[in-house]
Amino acid sequence: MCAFVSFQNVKKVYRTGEVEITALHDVNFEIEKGEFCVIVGSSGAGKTTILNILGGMDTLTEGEVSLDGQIVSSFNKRQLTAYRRYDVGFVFQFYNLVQNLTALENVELAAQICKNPLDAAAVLEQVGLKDREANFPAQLSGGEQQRVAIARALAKNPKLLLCDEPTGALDYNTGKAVLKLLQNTCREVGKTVIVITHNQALTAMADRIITVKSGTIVSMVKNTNIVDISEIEW
Amino acid sequence: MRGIRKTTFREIKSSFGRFLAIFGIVALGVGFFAGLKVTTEAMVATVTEYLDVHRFYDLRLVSTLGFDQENVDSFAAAADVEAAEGSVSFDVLYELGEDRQGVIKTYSMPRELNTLKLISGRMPETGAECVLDSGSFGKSVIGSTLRLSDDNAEEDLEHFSQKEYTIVGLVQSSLYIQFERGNTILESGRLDGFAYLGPEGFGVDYFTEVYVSFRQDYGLYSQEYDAFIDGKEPVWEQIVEIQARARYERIFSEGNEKLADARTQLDENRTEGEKELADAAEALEEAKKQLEDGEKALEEAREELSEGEETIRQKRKELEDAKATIARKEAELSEGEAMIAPKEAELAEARTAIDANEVELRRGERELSDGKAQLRSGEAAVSVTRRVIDESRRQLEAQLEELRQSGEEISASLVARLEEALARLDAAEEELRVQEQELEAARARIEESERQLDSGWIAMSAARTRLEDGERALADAKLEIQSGRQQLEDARQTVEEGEEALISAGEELEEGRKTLAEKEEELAGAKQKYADGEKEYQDAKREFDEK
Repeated sequence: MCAFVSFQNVKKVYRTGEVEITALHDVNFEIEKGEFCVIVGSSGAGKTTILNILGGMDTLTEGEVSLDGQIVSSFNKRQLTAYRRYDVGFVFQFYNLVQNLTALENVELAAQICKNPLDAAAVLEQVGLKDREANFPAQLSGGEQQRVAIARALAKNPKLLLCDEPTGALDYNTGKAVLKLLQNTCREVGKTVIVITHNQALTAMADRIITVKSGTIVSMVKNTNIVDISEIEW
Repeated sequence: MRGIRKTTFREIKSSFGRFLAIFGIVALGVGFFAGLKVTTEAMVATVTEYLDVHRFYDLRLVSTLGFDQENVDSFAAAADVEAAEGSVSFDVLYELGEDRQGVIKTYSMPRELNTLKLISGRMPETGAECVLDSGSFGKSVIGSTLRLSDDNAEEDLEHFSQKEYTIVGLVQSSLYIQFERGNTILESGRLDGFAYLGPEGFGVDYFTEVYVSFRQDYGLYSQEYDAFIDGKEPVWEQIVEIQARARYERIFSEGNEKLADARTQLDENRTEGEKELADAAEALEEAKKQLEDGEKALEEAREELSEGEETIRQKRKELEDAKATIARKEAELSEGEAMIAPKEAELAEARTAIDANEVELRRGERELSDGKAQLRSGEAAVSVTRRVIDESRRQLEAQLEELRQSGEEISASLVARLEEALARLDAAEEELRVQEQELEAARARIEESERQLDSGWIAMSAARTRLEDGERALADAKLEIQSGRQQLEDARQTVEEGEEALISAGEELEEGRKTLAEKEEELAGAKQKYADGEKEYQDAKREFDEK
């Protein structure tokens, strides 16, 4: 069975002059469609690098990455731009919203660049920010901003939703709320969501757990005992 | 892209001041750059228009002989030519007012090409008027007079019809679109400006250059124009060659006519001249011959002189030798005289010696006779003794014999006595012998002395003879010395005479030499004259040939 997302023998080497830094080596994993996957590992393990390569924001040195039958690793610049635009939704750790546009306009921005966008207002309502449409990011709290970011990513209606430590800048409760949102999106809409975290506790809510250590995959486990986020305490 | 537009506008609105500032800076930069880019074109366009309006030329033709109107017409008839115009231009030293002077380039008024733009005043109408360069002169010069300086060369002033021109205006010329006015070979080398003289302002009937304008129009500094002109250049070089040659021919034929006339004149003059030259040559030949004769005479005289010198030298040498001989002889004489005195003394001595000898000889003779007498007595004694001895002996022997005969006893004493007597006899005989020996010796001595005496006499007489000879010789020598002295005197006399003769001969030689020198001088002078004459002849001949 062809996996939705597959990494095969991926190796990433940063070369600056004579210095070679191997960020990733022998990365092999697969993710099914509609799965909620969590990639855990300590800081500097290579998690963000994997996500960046998957998201088309970085290139690899060796190996093959494929998404839904397309071999992402062999795209040229133009193809990568299209890929980023249409097929991937990204949620950053530090939101990266456009400060001069309102929440609604931020989401609309994303909707304007892709093929089958969802209605911006509807997505905002989905994330629970109906009242805050006309506010600028400076007028929103951290959690609200992250939710706007998620809405923006969702509005694009991508094949894949990549989240790079989405709760990193949030407190315990807000973080839980955001994760709940993500989990719901995955369950209800059937999106494939990949979340990077260093928090081991979150692995309980995932369908698949990928552990990364020192630039390589240590383990890839299907979670048999999936727990709802609201029940996880840490 | 609505979102992006929105965010952009909002960003601008939120910091409008900053936006304006940046906008201003960028606008300045853009304006600067745009201006920079357009300036070239603007400048080129300005110049192009100016030159088009004033019909600036495409080619300027010059030739070492200048051009005449026929040439200009031929140029105008060439391919693509719109207009061809001849122009006269000269550099000249000028004076303006009291204090202004320098070098100026004068032009004839243009008709079609390179027209002028009047800045102030008016254009010149007569040949005594001119307009000046508005870039080098101010309005104040209008009305004053432009004077051609006296420092100009004559031939330069001849190019002009006037010496003074009235300035009636200031113009801009399309030939001068820059600040530089150019260079010249006159004076300081820099031109102060230009002046255009009115019609007939120049006094020459030819053009110094021809300006040609082509029908085609191309952009200023454009490559097409450069290519066009490059294409025209070789063609026009040919054309100018041909035209220059045509002009040359024209000038030449004119000249040739004049030449033919002059030539006839020349031939006439030539025949005359040749005749004169021939006469002159003859005269020179004669003079030369005279010179040669004179030289020969001088040579001979010189030879004589040298011979005379030689003779004098010889004679002098002989004189010297004679003097030397005289001196030598005198010395000898003195020596001889000197020798006489000791010889005389010697002779006196000899005489005294001989006399002494004679005395001695006589004494010797006396002694000899005494000796002889002694000898004789001695001999007599000896013979007596001998007789005695012999007698004794005989006696003894007789006794002995008797004894023997007697045979009787001979007493020893008797024997002894006999023997003794014998011995005594022997001894006496011995003595006698000795005496006889002595006598012999004495005899020998006497004979010797006699011999000696004889020889002494002989010697003496010989010596006396010698002495007499010697005396005679001395007397002769004295005579000789006398005569020798006399000879010396004569010789000296002769030498003196000879010296006098030599001196006078020397004087004669000196005179002769002086005369020679004078004559040589004369000869040199004559030679010089001859050389001058010849040179004159040569010069005249050369001039003649040249002419």
